[in-house]
Amino acid sequence: MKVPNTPENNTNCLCPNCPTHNECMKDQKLFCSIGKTSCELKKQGCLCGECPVASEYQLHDLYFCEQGAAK
Amino acid sequence: MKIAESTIDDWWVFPGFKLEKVATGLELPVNIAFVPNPGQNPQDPLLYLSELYGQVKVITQDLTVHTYANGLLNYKPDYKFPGTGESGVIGIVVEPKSGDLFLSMIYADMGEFKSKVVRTSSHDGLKIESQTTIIDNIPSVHAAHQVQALTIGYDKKLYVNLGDGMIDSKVAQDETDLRGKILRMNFNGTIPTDNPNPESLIYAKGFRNPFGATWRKSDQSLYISDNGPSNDDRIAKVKPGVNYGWPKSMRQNSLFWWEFTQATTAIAFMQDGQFPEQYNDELFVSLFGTPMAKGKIIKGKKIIKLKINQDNSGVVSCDEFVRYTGVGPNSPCGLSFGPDGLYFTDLMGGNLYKITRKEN
Ligand code: SF4
Ligand code: SF4
Repeated sequence: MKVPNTPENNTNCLCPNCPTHNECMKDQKLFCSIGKTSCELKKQGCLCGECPVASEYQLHDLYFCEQGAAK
Repeated sequence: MKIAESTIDDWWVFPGFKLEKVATGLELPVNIAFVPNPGQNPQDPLLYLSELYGQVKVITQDLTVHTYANGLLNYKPDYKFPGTGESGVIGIVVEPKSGDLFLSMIYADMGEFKSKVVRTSSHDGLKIESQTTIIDNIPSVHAAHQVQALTIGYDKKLYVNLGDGMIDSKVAQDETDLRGKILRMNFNGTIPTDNPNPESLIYAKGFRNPFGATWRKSDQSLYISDNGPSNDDRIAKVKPGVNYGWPKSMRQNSLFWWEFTQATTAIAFMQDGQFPEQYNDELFVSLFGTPMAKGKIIKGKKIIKLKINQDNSGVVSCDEFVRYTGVGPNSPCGLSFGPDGLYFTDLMGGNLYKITRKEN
């Protein structure tokens, strides 16, 4: 697993502030670590590019909630 | 709502300068627009401020704060920073002849967010009386990357910075799409016949999230700040018809970039003698950083100044000029030179500050 599911990474994850993050996903975050959501989603923009976790683990992709965890 | 408390002691300022608070109690103040030729009566408008969640304030010559407009947004903002809370009313500029304002903002339309620019009028400049839409229906996002700075060029045209809308960055290269572009238009939104393509509002393309814009007297040119993803925030001189590279590159045709992103917001040249001669033609840039991070961090929370080289191909120096040293979540955001100094807003603190030369 490239991004560990730690309390610190959970705190720093920006997913809950993201325009794509919807009601069904409300208890989910850190998709770069836990993998994709089973919720239906409509892409409305992704904050991963601006996220401190993405900087720390040198992630360059977006929409981990749809694509699955970072490899 | 004020998110942070801030006093002048929370800011370090370059030696030889002093800071004072001009106004407080503002609600998420973003950009500052000075009236180009203000009247001298105490109740004449001196400057306007866009407030993110749907207000415009006017500060008169006697430094009284009035509400010029409110309720400009048709949706409920949510205070999520960074993220959906970063959007709203951003760009503001005063039309010199009429004193009307141009404002940029997003709006909700059947569950979609879109960008628009409006023109507002008032007989005394103190309270909005009418509003006309100049351009709208531009797909946007409920986050940053929306319609941003507005400026008026020396050619008396309106320039509009448009973010790429965040959902599909490839639109920044698509000449049939207005996102990720700098637009040039007449004051009524029509296409000037001398645009690079006389059938398009597009003046230049390939931008990601160009928050700031300003005009430089010495070369009569437009300069912008543009925000990269996790790297390469940049400053660029905007030339007609040129491609600035996004999404392939944030460095293409740029003057200066920060490898480690700083979140560039407003920019302004010192070009009217407010500071001593050695600062003439230097570009002051607000680096917003991570707004909700408390206290001192290395990312942003400062204003820097850049000296551009003689052939305009790069930068010869980059110095810190102001730094937030307080403990709260706060950052400089809007910035503009007024008649007597450099003014800036702190979004979270709800203040307008002024920096002037310290007398010996
Ligand atoms: S990179 Fe994206 S998914 Fe991963 S922590 Fe940041 S915001 Fe969350
Ligand atoms: S992975 Fe990206 S798009 Fe999905 S919720 Fe997180 S920030 Fe939003």
